[in-house]
Amino acid sequence: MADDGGIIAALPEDVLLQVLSRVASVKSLFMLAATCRRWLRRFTDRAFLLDLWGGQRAGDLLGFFFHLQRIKVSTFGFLPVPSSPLRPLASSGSSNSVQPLAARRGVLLMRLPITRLLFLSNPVTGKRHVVPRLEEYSDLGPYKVTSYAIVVSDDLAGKPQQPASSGRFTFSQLLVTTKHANSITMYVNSYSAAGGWAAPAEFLDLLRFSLAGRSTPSAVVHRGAAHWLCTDDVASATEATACTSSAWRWACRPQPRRAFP
Amino acid sequence: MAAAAAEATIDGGGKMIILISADGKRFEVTEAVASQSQLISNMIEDDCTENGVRLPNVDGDILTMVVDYCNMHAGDAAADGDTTKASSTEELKKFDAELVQALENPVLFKLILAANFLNIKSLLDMTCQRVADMMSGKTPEQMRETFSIENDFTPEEEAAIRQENAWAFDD
Repeated sequence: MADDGGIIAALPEDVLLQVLSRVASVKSLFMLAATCRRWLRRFTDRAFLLDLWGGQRAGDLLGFFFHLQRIKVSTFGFLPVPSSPLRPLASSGSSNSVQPLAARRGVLLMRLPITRLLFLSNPVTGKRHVVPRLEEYSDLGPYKVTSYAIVVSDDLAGKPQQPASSGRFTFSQLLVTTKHANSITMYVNSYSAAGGWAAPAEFLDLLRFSLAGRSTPSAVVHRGAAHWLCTDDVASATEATACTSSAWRWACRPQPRRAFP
Repeated sequence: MAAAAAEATIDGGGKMIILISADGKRFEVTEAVASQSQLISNMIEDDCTENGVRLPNVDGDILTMVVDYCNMHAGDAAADGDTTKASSTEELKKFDAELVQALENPVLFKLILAANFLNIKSLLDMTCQRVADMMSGKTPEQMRETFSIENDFTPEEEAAIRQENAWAFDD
């Protein structure tokens, strides 16, 4: 009965799960996954992982599996997130964990503990970029961040240059919208690695508009432009479009009539 | 572990039943000992152990270990106090530790399958833990060797996995 998966593969499924769920370190499971194709397939199978961890460790994000398609047969990689127990940070500890804020095409925007600095990282390529503090470049005073948007290199090129699964995108621009004390305008601040923070641009008239969505709504990035869904508190809902260049444009779209008020 | 009459009783009382392994070996145990196996416990309840219990997928040598284990642990299950072989907790721990340490493939896996088939939870837990412990701290090469896994990656694929997952291979 044992085929290429060796002696363990001959165990009945429920017994196999019992054994694997008793393995103390996720790293050991990874090593098993790296022994042959059969185990690699199993450990990259979502249903299997859910059976194995169903609810138990699901709360802890350990890292990401990603597929490599550079060679004929796709293999996989696994990368622990910065706060993962698999890769302890210098300042580890549960209360100091890195906070994920936004993600696009595998590029993550995260906030460091204590210093609260923002940094962008692509766990696949290992590239990291720490964003300088906005307040040192903005004279608008104390602010509250209301949303984030990440633009990657392929967004600006206008067409995909690599398959979405490659996971090798590089960040091109970071857009952060901010509310400021005693100001009726929401601003958008754009940051690029080459140019740093650009001067804040007026984005929304807060007397009339508000961002739709939960506490920190995400923008949708499409064809090089970031789109926010806004509620027009005076008339109907509209869609605000923030170009990734320095120019701004609005696209207003009448809201479909609702059946009920 | 000699064969005996099916209706024999031991001095402690309690009905005896006969377990018959795949290769025809016979084991005489008390019902209290045998009923640690949920499978056999159900059969005892259903009154179908009269002519002995045939276990066609458990070999004699594995069944010997299972019976030894159940004899040692009979005290756990039977609270009646009529089990003459009830062992102290320390003895049990020592016995379990020695049993588990001595287990190697493929006997370990046969024992797991037997514990699973016979549905003896404590023995299954113990043997599964042993395999899990054997996995810890091993490289893929050591895993393959320990568990007879054939490496069917191309050298390029293997190099790619290694390179892309340096976090796992580094220390």
